[in-house]
Amino acid sequence: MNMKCKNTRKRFDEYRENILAPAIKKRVTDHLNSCDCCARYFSEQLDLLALCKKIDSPIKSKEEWEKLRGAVLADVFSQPLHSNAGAQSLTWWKNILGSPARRSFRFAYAALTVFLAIGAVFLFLPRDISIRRDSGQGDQKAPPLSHAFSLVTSQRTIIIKKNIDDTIRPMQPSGVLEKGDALQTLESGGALVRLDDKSAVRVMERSLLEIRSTSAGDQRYYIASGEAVFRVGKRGPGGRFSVSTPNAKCSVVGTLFKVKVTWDSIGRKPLTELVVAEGSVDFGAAIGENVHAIVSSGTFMTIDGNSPSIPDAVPSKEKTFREFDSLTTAVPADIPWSAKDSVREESEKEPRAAARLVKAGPSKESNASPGNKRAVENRVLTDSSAANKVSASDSAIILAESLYDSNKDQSALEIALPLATGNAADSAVCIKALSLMQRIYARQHRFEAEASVMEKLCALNIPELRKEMLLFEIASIKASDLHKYEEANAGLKRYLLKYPSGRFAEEALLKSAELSFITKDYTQAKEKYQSYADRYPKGGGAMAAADKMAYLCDVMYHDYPGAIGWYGRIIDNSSEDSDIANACFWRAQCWKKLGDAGKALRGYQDYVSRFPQGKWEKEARKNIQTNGFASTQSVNRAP
Amino acid sequence: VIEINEDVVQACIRNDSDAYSRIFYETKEIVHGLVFKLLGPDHEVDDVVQNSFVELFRTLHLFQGKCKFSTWVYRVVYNVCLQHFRAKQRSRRHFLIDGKIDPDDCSSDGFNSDPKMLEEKQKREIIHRAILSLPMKFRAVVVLHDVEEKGLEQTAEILKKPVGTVKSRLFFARRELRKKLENSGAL
Repeated sequence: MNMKCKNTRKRFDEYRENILAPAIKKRVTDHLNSCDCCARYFSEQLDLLALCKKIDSPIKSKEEWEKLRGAVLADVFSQPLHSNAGAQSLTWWKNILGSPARRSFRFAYAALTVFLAIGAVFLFLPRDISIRRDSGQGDQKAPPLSHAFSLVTSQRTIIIKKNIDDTIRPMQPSGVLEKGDALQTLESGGALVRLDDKSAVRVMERSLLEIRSTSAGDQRYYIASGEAVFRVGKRGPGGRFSVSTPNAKCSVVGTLFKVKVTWDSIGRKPLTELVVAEGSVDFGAAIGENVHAIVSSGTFMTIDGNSPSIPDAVPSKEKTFREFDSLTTAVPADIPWSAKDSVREESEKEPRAAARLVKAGPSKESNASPGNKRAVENRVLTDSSAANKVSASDSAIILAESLYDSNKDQSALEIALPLATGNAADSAVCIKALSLMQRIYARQHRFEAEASVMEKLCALNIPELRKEMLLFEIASIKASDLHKYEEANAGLKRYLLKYPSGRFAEEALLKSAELSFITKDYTQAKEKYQSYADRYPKGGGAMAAADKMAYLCDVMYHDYPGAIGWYGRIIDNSSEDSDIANACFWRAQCWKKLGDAGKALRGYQDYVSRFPQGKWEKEARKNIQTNGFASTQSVNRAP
Repeated sequence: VIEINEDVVQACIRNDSDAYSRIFYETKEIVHGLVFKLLGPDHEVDDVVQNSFVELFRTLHLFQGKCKFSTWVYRVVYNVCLQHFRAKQRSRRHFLIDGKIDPDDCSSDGFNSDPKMLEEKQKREIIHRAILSLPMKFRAVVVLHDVEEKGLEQTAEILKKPVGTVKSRLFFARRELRKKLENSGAL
């Protein structure tokens, strides 16, 4: 039995891909041999496919690929990967319990796993427990080092401890760092990390150092940006000490050196600089291309992206040694007590109050007790340098921005939120904080919050151009994301009143008309579409406005002469065939409704001659046969 | 053909930079090609390619080997492109229109260009422009099935849609595409 044309055409792709059952394939072939129309259809489709296959992407040079790879790997290594261990273990459990093995075997397997897991937990318990267990035999396992640190800071500095669980805490004046912790120093800040084995790490200002391993035998650090000076204590046999950056890795055994990471202006390409003051460092690219060299004392070397430089001598070896030595051994500079105490007091009150701490700047409490010496000094500091306060807030904003850049939205929000509610004196900070919050909410698709932040921003002293854009954006969010059409429409009206010939006036007017149409306020919609068509006859939405006007006149207001005019405008100006075809047909329908049979007949004939394959071809022919008076029930116009 | 075995994937999960590089080199053409074909000559293509790779590496541990590695790569890249496309649409900055192919760009080939090649290039651009003018759901099936020459089933797998849906989208997309190409004289 021969196959129908429709069914044959439906199977074009399967036929071409040769995945049809042999019997069906034969029927398709037979049909194609006997039906010219389908054969032509298949050939046309093949022509189209041949054209599509011609598209190819531009060729990238080797250097461009290398650059891209460097950027990708820098991105990948700067953020923790594969973090959904929970989901993975769940899948694993599902696999065990859902395996087709016998139930008793499955549960025995699960029990064994649990037993092994508990054993593993005991095995890797912290040092104190393992020592107790091994007492008398000596501890075979290298204990993890404690990273006692002290602050080297000034009033304008905040140091934040960023744990692996993404919480931010102000650093206590002394404490222990753990694996996964990171130190972020701000402008004029710094931190000194001292280890039990006499090693020391001095983190310079505006740097981010992450502690990747704290084991005595294997200490690993990561510098995402900024610089740090390392003094490495004596290693045991096989003991490793390494510092990695987004594009380089330094492995050392007993030395004094500095690693500095800087990024290019667009933050894509890292540059790592290594200066060795004592001992030697195995310095190489982070990506295993065997690009590495031994950098000895008194020399420096850089890796720009993936390109290493030749090691060169530092201008003054002694001076470098003295500088590094003092940085890692000297007693930390005295901290102005107000800033130090504010850190301490705030952190004691609330451990996660980094943002409040920043906002406060010099201690607020000082003003409450003028008799107190500290308070007097504090007030002097506060009064004499208002800039300090602003700069502390600015530092917080820098930190929040850097957290936002590394996708730590929640932490960035925690810092930005209190700053955003600042007073008028801090309006610049407030604007920065609100702008950051807006970006965070936009990224999180929290449109309601985004709109509310933008409204707050609008009320502040921001450039007029930005205000204009925000007004329009708020209305757009309300319309397209929150579906609050009436509020959006009101917002657009406000925008149009304030900026009648603004940058977005055209779009705002069209959107406003559409919103009136959606909310069934047809009178308003008609007025706005009319106004749009008059003001922007060549605008991007002119044809859409004309179509809506024609619909409103034709269907809603039965103003057929008006509708004929709008259809005529579409026919004359539209570049879309489908729009012209529809307008031709509906114009003929309007003439018919007006009882002008002659014009209606000419309209239908025009439609049939211009669009013989058109959507309304049958209906038009029927009308031609009945001299323009066939039933119109089946062709009601939709908007 | 992507030749990535289980060991390389596992090495990546362990943060082995060599393994990352291997996957990068194996998939770079696919990723860049798909992004370019789906988004057009956008100035953000490189950013999307970079994001695609980062997403690829970030979600590598979720690859369970139930489908081909290439299918999985296509799916991740498609999702990143879709995300970018939506974000861009949502930004509502219509006055900053990207992706327009300027016919004058063809002259950048230099004076020695073969006119036939130039014509061919122009034709390619017209086709690409026509594909880019399709709605994203149609564009995706045309790019994956007709341009990248993936089978119906693989396209369905990449888009996570039933084969029937892919077939119907292909039908409407091709009809639309044909119309556009006929109007522009390319067909």
